[in-house]
Amino acid sequence: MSTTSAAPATTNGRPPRDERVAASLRTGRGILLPGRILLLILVAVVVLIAGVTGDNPLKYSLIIGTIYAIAILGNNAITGTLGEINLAAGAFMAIGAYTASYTLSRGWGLATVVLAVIVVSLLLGLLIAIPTVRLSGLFTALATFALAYAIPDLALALSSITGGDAGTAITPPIIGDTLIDGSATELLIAVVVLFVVLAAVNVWLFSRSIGSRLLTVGEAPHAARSFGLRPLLLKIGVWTWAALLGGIAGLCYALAVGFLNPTVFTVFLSISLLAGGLVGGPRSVVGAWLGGLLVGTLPPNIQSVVPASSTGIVFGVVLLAALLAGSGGLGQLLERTTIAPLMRRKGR
Amino acid sequence: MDLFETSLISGVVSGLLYALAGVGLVVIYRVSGYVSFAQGDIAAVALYLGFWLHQGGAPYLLVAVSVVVAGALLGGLIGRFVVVPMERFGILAAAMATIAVGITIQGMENAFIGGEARPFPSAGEGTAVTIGSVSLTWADVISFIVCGAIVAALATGFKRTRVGIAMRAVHDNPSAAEMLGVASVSLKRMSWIVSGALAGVTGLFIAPVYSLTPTSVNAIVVFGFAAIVVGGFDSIAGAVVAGMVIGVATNLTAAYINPDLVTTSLFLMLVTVLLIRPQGLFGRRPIARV
Repeated sequence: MSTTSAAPATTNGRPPRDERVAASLRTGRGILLPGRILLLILVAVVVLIAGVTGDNPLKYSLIIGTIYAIAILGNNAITGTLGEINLAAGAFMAIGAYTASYTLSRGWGLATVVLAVIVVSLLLGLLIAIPTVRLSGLFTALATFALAYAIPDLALALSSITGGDAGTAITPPIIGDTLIDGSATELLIAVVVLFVVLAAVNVWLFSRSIGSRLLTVGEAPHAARSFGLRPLLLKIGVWTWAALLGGIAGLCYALAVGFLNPTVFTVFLSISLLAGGLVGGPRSVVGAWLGGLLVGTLPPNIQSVVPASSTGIVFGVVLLAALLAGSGGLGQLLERTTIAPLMRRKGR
Repeated sequence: MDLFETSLISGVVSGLLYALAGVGLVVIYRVSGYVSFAQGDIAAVALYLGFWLHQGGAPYLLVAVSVVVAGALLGGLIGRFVVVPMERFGILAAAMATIAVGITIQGMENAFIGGEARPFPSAGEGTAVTIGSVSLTWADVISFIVCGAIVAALATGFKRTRVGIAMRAVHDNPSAAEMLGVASVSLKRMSWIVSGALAGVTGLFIAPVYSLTPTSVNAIVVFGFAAIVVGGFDSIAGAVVAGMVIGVATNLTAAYINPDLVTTSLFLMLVTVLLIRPQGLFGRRPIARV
């Protein structure tokens, strides 16, 4: 996904506005930052209105979709900036979900549980990141594929924490008088706010110098070294960020579904998240949300046509379509048709 | 001691099967530079055909030949119409296309055939040979001989035949290969046919042991991935040795530590080798122009 282009400079030394908008669309950085935040808030309003006014199944699928979107947001950092394939996004979710399940069953308060999930996700994410960043291309895909394959078995082996084959029920936390589970409007609001905050941090960080450093590392690793950047360190940062977001998504997932079973965190989940990221667009935060909603809401809504065990057909076709369509995804399409024309007009 | 002996000998036998699964992946890698994540799914479709033929009373030999031919045909079609055209978007896109094809096939099998385990006929029943305290069935012996013969034939084919050398040339230096008149697209399509046939052969030996489900062959293909990564993508002999090492190591893990930690040990082996020797134990270090 090369973003390098030579834009003709104007007299003040800056490229023309149209060029800057086009570059911003391609890179996910730059001039469209305010528009992206605005679009994010608009999607949040739509999701909240649909979830609050809709029936419980719709609310639940929006919660799950937004949770997947958080995991995709992390995974997209790997796909969109480093250009690597991570087939173990589900593993990061498993870490967060089981940490939450274990600590909740010990009677920890929600704030402490969140802190535990963050710390464990960061530590285990770092542990996975350190060897993984030394790989690239196909080897990253193979190593993460093997990790994703190992997770359900590892969950069985750690039966004292995970409940083994029988699974483990989540002790739902109570905030005020409200039980936080998959039918709670509070959980919908919480995951939407969480996504907006994480996405805003993501898009803001990516628009700073760290974003250009990461793009250089991803697209031109040799040049990055020549510029004095430290690619391994930056890559470890990206993978750990992905693990953190995956862990947070896992925590929310555990609260929403109320029961964890090792068969949830299979390779298929990771592939679905990867597919969602590509369909949404790996460099668009709104795209990550659209991808998450697709992964979370599509299977339950087409069950009359495609049974739950066969959703692979849908995701397989969707993944192929996303690969054929190119790298921008639905998010870029949305940005191209909404905020980009506005920004161009503003400059005239 | 019996447990150790069993782990060792059955590890070697299954290791050769892992190597065969891996070699099926190497055939595509040699020409195109990526691996197919759909190998197990191609095998599964071919095996379902074999299962129905067997249910209809067909002899084992006909079942086996049909599975191999169906694997070759399906592999060829997927390569011709989906994955090779996808290479224009890059090798990672092509690799992801194989994932997409794989999950689509799995979904279709679940929808139209069902996910329940089905018994698949074995190449031979009864004890063929006893080594120490371990008895090997005829199926084990046939699997060992067939896998060994195929792996040896492929190793020779890659080194000694014009097609084998042309396959390497297409991957190592596509422009030079094109200038020399090597038909790279045809070779890529052919690699899919060969790889599909090998998936069928691998499935024939896996399905009787693990039963036939949409994902049972896939579980072994992961071991195949590990065998070629640990052995080295450009070394068939390396894949054999690595397959056997993996077979023995995972058997020992299952016997002495915990059967549920087998895939974790596989992941750890894979990552360790990739970190210490990225080209694999027997692979050549790639030389890249900077």
